[in-house]
Amino acid sequence: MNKHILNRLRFFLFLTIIIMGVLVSRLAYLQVVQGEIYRHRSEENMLRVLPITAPRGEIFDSEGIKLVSNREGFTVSVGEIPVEDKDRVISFLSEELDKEVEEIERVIGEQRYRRYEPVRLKTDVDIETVARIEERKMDLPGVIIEVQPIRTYVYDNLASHILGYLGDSPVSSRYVEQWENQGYEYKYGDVTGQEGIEMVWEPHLRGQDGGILVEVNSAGRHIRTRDKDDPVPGNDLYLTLDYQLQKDTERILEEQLTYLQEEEGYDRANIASAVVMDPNSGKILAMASQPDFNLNTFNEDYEDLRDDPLQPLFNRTIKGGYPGGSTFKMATGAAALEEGQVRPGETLRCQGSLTRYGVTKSCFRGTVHGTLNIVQALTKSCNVFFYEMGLRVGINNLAYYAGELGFGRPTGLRDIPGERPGAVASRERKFQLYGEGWVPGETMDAAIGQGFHEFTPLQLANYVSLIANGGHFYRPYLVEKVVSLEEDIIWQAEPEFHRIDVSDETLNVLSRGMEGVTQPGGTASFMANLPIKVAGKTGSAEIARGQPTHGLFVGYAPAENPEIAFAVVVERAGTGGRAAAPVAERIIRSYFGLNDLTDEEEQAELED
Amino acid sequence: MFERKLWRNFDYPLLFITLAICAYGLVIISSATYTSSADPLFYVRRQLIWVGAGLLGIFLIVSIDYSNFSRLSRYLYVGNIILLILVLFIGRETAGSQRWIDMGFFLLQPSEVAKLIVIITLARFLELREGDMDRVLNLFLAFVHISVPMFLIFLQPDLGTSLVFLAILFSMLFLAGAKIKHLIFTIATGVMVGGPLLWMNLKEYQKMRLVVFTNPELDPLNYGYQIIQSVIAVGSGQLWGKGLYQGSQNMYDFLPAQHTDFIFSVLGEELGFVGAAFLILLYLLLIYRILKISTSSKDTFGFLICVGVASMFLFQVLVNIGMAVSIMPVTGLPLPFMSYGGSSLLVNLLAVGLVLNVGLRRHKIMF
Repeated sequence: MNKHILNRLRFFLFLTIIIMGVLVSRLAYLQVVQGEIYRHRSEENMLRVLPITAPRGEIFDSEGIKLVSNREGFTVSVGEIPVEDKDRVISFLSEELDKEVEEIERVIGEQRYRRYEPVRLKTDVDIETVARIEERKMDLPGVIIEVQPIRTYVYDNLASHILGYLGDSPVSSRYVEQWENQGYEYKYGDVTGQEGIEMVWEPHLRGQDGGILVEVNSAGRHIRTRDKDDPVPGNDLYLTLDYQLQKDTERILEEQLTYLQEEEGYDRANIASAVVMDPNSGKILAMASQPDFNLNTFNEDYEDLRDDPLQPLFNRTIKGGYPGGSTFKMATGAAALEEGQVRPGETLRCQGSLTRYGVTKSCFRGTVHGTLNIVQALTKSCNVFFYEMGLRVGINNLAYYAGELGFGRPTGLRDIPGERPGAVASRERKFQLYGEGWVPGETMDAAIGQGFHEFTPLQLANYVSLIANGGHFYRPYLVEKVVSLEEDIIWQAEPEFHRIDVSDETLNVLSRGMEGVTQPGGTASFMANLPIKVAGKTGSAEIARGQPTHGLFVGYAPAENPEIAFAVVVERAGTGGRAAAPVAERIIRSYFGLNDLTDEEEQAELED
Repeated sequence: MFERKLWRNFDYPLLFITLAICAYGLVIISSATYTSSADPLFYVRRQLIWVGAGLLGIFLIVSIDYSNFSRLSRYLYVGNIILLILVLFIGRETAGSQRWIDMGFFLLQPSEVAKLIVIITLARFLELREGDMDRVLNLFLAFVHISVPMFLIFLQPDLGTSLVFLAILFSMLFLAGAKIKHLIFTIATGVMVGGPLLWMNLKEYQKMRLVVFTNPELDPLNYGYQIIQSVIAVGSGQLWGKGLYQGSQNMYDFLPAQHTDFIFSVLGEELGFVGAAFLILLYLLLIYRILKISTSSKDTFGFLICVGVASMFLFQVLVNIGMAVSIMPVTGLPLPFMSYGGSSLLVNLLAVGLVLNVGLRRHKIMF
């Protein structure tokens, strides 16, 4: 063989050795140097955590009646789908679950960075669909059916604004972020409380998800279970709400609206709300806002509810802002008495109207009340008397005492989100709204609860509580206690209060005025028939010329030893005495177990 | 037709190394296919039949003086072309390429057979022009000679096998005395002109394979998946491996094509660095043995056949193992004697038979 060629052959052999050497070095690098890392990755590859959703805590009323519970439902999730099956599996799921292919792909895509965790595609899938998927299970690699607790609201619409709802919509991602910032872990597709108690008490209600550690093959099929971590159910909540009273309050409001529309011709009387609380603790016993909605079908109804002009999702009791009308007169009275601008027995003459600073303002429908003191003025709701009081104390003092009585700032209810601070008429407020200076005539409006005021029904109920309990401002609350699965009390509400800057003497005078309201000669005299003495105040808040006023009624009962304080607002329904007071009367009957009257009887009584 | 004396020339080490790799392959195939069919030995048994058939083939091929192939070269070349054209028309299509002809009892892969035939015909072609290979014209003709079967295979499409032809061509030209500067010039032109041309004619999945090769994490769920899973498998084997039948990447199906193209990943995972490096050592010995035989061949034809076979094995080992450890892009090239598959195993054994044949008839004059 020629030497030249032999050298080339040697080169070829040399090249072979080099190539083999490169391969061996690469192997040494992967297997020896990096081996530990790859060993770990291969472990991770076959291990999956299949989450077990913890049942959410249940919610009960103050008597232990279950309001919110869980039932078992099926959830369809997908893990890893082998590439070659992907299109087929997704189109099958799209058809069965009635979801767009793009949507499923998007959901799976969002999971990309945690792709070993199954993603939930649809919760509460009906049993027929589940059966069809189970049948074809072998053809559907990566598809997982889990049994998951589904939230159920035992009484559909009951306390819908308070209980709140759950959601897993993208809208919720900001809440998830919020909870995650506080150290709670969430997976994509997890449901979280979106409103009300479900939202605020999320950390207690959610529990802790468990999981099963399984070995799976590349198709995501379960091969072997390695470990199991049982879920910890969420804690149960006991509310201050009284189921019976809540139910009755909602029903009464609804019936009253129907009555006002159909019998009294207030065809725009669609909205009403009421708050009933314990004046000695701040417990909210009932809190109703009409119209309301069905919590069990919330997710399906959402778009209709959102677009409904009556805004059924809007909780008027804490978010609705109303001028208080004459219900505010106790505040004006408090300011005048505290500032020494009037003595309890001092009388004034009402001639039906009062002219000051070039403006004339009159009593309701021009009624001439004659000579009266502050108690009588409250009883008969004389505007002239309180115009005078307002002018005597001035707007600044008026605003100060309104603030002391809880207006213009949140009452501090923490158990549901979104309490509106409302507003008190003041020079600052007017300047902020209109950039204009105060006119003395406006002090007269403010004194009778008109003009720039904006109060929530909760503030109104809290305000009469202060008068009822002798000046103790209790923070209103809805959650009484949190109880774990083991029946241990994890958290117990403690009433919180502060003493307001209004004297007992003043509050006594105001109470006497309110007691007169429900007696003959008062603006809600029909309540005199009740076996329990009620202290109250009517209000008719003007909203615009030519429109029916909002009817308001606030008060407490029994007058001498108050157990409940309440506020009722019925929008665009006329006077407080006719639109709102009957609601309060029926709430009182419900609470004290007195016979409730049917609408006809009640109306006949009113006609007398 | 056998003379007793001939057997003194039989290269037993080469046969032994070959059979050792085959046996190694059978063990790994048994692990790779353990869970994939009802009969855990289904694939092993079939592969064993092919080893038997291959041994018979070696015996047959050794019994004919290889010089006969030199004379039959022209017919082999034409027959080869016909087979490759045939597969384009009646071939069975799998995963987007037409590579197999259904022979009833097995699927013949003409591109495998073509490699062996091209080695023979090219050896003959170069032998005829011995001492004349520094001429550009001859170089050009050698290209034409090989480009016809290569192009037909590219049409199937089978990029990997087409590239094997180039490896064989350059190795044989190099050892047939072509000028090095000519070869370098050809490679440079080929890369500059052929590269873009090739790229334009690649199918989408072939391009993706090349793109993800540079960064598998770009597409971890699709094309990059195979590479990532293979590297995880190999790496997780560490020094001693997880043990036969113990590889989770293999047993839980994370490895694609684990008994064919990615058989090396199973080996790496289950028998570790030691087992994998041992296989590479066997390949090194195999090629060394073939090159040793080539030096004692009685003629240039025999010499070039050995070189062709050695380069074919070398290239396939490099590309296949390189793919499993992610230093080469994914091409569907089987690992010689290891990957499951009848055509490939048979042709590789026949190639060894051819080399043994050359070794057997090493002396120009028989005494």
